[in-house]
Amino acid sequence: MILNLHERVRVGAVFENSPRPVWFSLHGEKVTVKDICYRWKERAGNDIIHKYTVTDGFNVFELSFSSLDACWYLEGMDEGNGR
Amino acid sequence: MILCMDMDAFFASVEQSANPHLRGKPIAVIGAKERTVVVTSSYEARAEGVKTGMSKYEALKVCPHLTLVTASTGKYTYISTEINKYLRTITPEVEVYSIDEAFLDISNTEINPVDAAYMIKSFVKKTFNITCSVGVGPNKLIAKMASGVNKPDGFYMVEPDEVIDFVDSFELGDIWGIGRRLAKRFRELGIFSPKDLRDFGQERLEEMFGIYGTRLYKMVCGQYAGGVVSEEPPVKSIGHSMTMPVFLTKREEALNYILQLSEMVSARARKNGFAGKTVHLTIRDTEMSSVGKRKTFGFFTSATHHIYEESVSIFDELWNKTPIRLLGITLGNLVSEYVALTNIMDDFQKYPQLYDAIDKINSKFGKNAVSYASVLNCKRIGAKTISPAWRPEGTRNVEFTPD
Repeated sequence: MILNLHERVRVGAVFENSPRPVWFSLHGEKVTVKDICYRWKERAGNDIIHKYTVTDGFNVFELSFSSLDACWYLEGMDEGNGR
Repeated sequence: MILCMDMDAFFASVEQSANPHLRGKPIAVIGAKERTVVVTSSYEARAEGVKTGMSKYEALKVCPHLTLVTASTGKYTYISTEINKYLRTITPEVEVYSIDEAFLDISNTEINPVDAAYMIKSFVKKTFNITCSVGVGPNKLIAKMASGVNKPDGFYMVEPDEVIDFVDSFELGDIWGIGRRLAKRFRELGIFSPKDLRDFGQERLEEMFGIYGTRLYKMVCGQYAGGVVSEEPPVKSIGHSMTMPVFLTKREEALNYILQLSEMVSARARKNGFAGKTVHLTIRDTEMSSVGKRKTFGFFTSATHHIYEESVSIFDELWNKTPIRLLGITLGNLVSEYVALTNIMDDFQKYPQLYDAIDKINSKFGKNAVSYASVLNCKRIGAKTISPAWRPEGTRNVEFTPD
């Protein structure tokens, strides 16, 4: 990820076996998730953090969902134009 | 038959799969943002001369358009753990050799090795969109060497009657366990190939290398004594080391890291029920030369404050004021199922309750949720790099701290 953010964000998600993000808000704009590129889980104490890299077709974003406090975070963003 | 599953450029492939912007590009995974080396690189980067172990500056010199990606240890350990769970559905006889390599003994299953290999390759590709190579052979040596034959996304099987021809197709230094340095020594003796080494004879090898000579002879005959070890061998020591983000020149700075490392070692000993009787401290300077010393406690301990006190005393004996690149602490002579957190010499007798409270808080809120205030002075906190000894479970399972 080029930009590390860890910002709390609003996310629209479908909760099936594990949460699937469908859209999220970024600076007031609604970003539609075109594809979930990758998903994995990490443990932080009792909390299981669901992590995703998603794309809107242009940029790649890393989202995380804390199952303990039921909050979504935008962890980072890659605009694909730098090192 | 034995299978060896070896992930292809594991960390780099995961990063390329997770981020479409990185696909098809030369990328290198580096340990951390600060001074660091290339942990692995994509095949595109390797084609341009990027090698594991290069500093990031060296890597950028050989490949100026290289993209550097900071390692995401949590992602890799999750994927490795899930793959190993899948391997155990094929056979319980799985030996996790490293984060990206495993051996499977399918002799006691009814699964054909070719089917098993393609089941594994399909699972890895479908679940994680990365590839692995699988080698099959009558023992671990042949399976391991076969796994490298058709990399990446390869498969190669060696039947028992093809073993000698297969071994002879390798240069001596490319045989798993021989290595370039030993191959050079053999070259000086006029031994250039596995066949030359067989002709040299077992007896002469034993004269030169003792019991290792027997092993070497068997290896060039395509034989390997060690089977797949699915049970984790007993832990002999618990240790952590840390490369400093900037060279340390002051004693106070070093003590903060010694305290952090003591707590990391102690926390793992407490969690897994071990106490140790010796502590070993390693100091590596900027010239990469290391000094270390072991001290024996008069008692068994798992406690941070005991490990720290003894480590500081070793540090004061060893440190010659040269800038420090790396510090490492190891608790040895372990006894299992015993956690010792205080003794009658301690002024404060409530250490067990204190450590219990720390462990409960960290278990609930995550590693380093509570720690020693001095540790906050460290620029690097927590384990960031995956040791070759890392395993998906047990004492060798280390929880990583994200950046």
